[in-house]
Amino acid sequence: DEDDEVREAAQEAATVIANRPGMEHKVKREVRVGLGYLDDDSFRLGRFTGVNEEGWFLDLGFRFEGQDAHNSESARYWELEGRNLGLDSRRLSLEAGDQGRYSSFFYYREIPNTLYRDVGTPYRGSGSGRLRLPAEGGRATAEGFLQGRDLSTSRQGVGVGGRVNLDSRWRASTAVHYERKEGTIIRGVNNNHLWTQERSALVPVPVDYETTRFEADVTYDADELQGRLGYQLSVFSQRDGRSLEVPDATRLDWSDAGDNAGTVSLEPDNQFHQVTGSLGYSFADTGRVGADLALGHMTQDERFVEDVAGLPASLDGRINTTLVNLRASGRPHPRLNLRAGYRYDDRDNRTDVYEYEIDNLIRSTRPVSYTQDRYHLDASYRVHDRTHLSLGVVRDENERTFSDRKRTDETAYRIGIRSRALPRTSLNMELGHAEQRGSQYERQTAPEELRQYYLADRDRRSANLYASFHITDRIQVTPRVQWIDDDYTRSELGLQQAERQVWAVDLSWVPTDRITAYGFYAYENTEARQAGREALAFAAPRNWRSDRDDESVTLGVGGEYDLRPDRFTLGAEVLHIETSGRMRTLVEGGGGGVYPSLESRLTQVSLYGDYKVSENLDFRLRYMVERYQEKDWGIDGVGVTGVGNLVLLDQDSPDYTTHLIAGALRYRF
Amino acid sequence: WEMDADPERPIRGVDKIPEVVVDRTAQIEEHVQRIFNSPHAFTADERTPFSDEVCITCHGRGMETLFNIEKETPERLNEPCLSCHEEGARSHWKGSTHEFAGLACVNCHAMHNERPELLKADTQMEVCGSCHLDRRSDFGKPSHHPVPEGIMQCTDCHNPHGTPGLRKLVGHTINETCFNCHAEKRGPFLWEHNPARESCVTCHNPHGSIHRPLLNARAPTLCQQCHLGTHSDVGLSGAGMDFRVQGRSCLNCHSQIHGTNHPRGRVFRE
Repeated sequence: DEDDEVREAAQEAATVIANRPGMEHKVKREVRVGLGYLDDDSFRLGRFTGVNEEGWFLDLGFRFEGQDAHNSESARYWELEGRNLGLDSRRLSLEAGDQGRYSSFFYYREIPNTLYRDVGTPYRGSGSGRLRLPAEGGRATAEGFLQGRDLSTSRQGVGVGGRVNLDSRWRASTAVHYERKEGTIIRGVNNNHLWTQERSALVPVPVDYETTRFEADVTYDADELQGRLGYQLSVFSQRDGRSLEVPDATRLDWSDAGDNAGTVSLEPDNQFHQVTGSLGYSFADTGRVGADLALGHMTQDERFVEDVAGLPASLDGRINTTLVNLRASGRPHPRLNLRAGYRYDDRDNRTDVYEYEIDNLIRSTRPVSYTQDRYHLDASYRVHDRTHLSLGVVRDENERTFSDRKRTDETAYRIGIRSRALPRTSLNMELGHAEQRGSQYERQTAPEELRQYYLADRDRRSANLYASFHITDRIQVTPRVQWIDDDYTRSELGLQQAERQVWAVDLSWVPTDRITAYGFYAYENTEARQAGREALAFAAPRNWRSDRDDESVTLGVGGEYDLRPDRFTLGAEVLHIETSGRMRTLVEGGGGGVYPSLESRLTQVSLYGDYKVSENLDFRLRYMVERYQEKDWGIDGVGVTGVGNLVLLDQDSPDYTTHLIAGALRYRF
Repeated sequence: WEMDADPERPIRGVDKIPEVVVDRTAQIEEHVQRIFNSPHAFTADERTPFSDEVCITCHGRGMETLFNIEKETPERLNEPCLSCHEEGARSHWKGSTHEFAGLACVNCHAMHNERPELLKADTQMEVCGSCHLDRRSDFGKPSHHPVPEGIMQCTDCHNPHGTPGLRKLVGHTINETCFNCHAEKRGPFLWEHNPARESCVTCHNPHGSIHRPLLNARAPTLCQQCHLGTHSDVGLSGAGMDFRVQGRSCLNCHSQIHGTNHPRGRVFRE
């Protein structure tokens, strides 16, 4: 029949190709040159790629690759690629090796991140370790002393590494990654005001981080036994020193602000060493047992920004981490699949507890340690030719130090079914139930009834449904529903309930051989309720309730039309994403209110055409319009001093429409 | 037509023709040629058995898995792949969540193509997002890691073939994974915030959120899930906003929430 003809043709074609005489080392080259124009500054578009400022931009790239013919005496390959070379997200990478013998890589990359555009701040001197305020200004006149700026960071990373096959079973590999992150972020600075007289300023804080990672390992891979021994080191360095001096912008008169500068501690240098080992053994085709061990050591010994009696000059922070992972899986019966595992995760904080007096109060530090034991067992049974029933149980046992609850345990059960019994249909459904309980809750501070949500008693119910239908040969629909309901009703105060549901569907349609179309839709809703109580300092503390309702809707449709097959293709996509966050409070005995909605709305329309000018030359023209709007009641319309006791950055949520047009030529030779 | 390896999982814009096969015999040579351009065809690499027996190496003696691939069990489909690839980054495949859920290699990979990692689609987000629709939706939210922009990809944090870590994370713990790029938050610190030391996802959704930066909820609500104390009246009236609610809310003052080395930093302000 036709299938047999195809099989024979395949084997014949393969044999013919395999027996062709050895060819030269093959080289493919591709160069992309593009030019684009953005007609207005944007925020979302190009936030991470750099295409976010009005004006022209270059889209340059290349890809050169070569490899030996399949039947050469060696299997050498190499690939040199440059992407986004005209943008702030440029990347250059090189991979080369001789397959089965060695491989190596190198890369250089930049990643921009625009955090906020066009903010205004009275602070000067970013990058100097000491910020300044104009001496002639003051809180009331701050608006007159603003300097406009964009807040952003940029990561520049470089990495190099390689792997050598020592023989058919032993391999060794190593890699070094270095990354520097520079820029400016926002931080709130309180200037050590007491909580009864709180005043703060949002401050542009310079960032200059360096992280170096080194990895090396040796692996052994035989048919049945595999093993790995590795070491990794991560070193973080703060290049801006230990601290930043920030004058108090909430003062009425800035002339002596420098004398009232607060000291902010910057993230200290730290190191992490880890030795890792793994063993895995496969047996009887489907069975496997394995073990992993990871021993880590974190250190931090940066000098404190202030000398305090009772504290040493530096932390001498030391944490040991241990991870043991044991696992087994197999098929004791052709219909039965089992897996089981045990995991031990320990953070042993060896840093001393320091007790010292500051501002006439005794403080005692709380170096956090925890231990987690986790057991799991899963079974899957083939009840019918293409239908499986699965059961699973997971037990988590956690112990913590310096915590309101020393121990929490969670037992989670799940039952599921997956089936392909119906023609052209795939179904997966899973139901879950979990209970978190623990030791006596011992709150150190009022109110006693408050339960921290990650430590609280919790009942969790969940449901997942995933299906895929081939309605016809040319239409496929993939719906999915996900639901999680967390019940914390044993907490008199704190989070009481959180429910998340996701409804999503994908559609794939091929009306003709030259037209393809797709659509996707996702609706997500998270509702949460929590309870609180005014502080005991109030004469008659009232209870209150807060409800939160977050929603997001994602809708997209698109398609391609091969106007002239292998020559000219037209495509289009419309994407719309809307999110909202609503919150309201209800106070016992009256009061409370509804917050304005937190909103974002994105609409993107893209049109593109790919035209094959000649065998070697392609041309792509792309047009996109993006409409983006956010509303955030926390910052919109309040300016710099519009909120009492707070000096903000003069910023408003993004609201723009921008058009992008870009053309690119791709030449292959 | 090699893309119809698993007709039950469409991949947007790529897996265009679920079960439509157009003139298979005419395309067979092109189909076969592609495998000769792939890493599987090198005869000089003694680990590639394809070079000995070509098609039947993977498709079986009777070429059973050339057609009707959807009728084969995942174990049968994975067998030729695992005979070589149960090592290195794939040594945790057996017993992993994806293996236990009945996934086959061909659900995500198409061996007859020239994409990196022989993926079925141009981007990992398309491949992974074809099942994890909720995660794909998360990446559309205002605050997200730069995955849709192509700057990061799913495997920067996860290994879909299984790892010693939870949730197939590349680090042994959630925090270890995050600290690969955010090492400044690793500590140890003089003053440590317990939930942040234990798990970053106590407060963050790393895939995406409507609350910056990747927060599970907006402050003060998020903080009030664990803290009331002296600020327990914050945000009670939507009409009565103040500096503890607007701007960055709790973070206007408690900005060192991951931990701080300042001797005065007990409540993470300095």
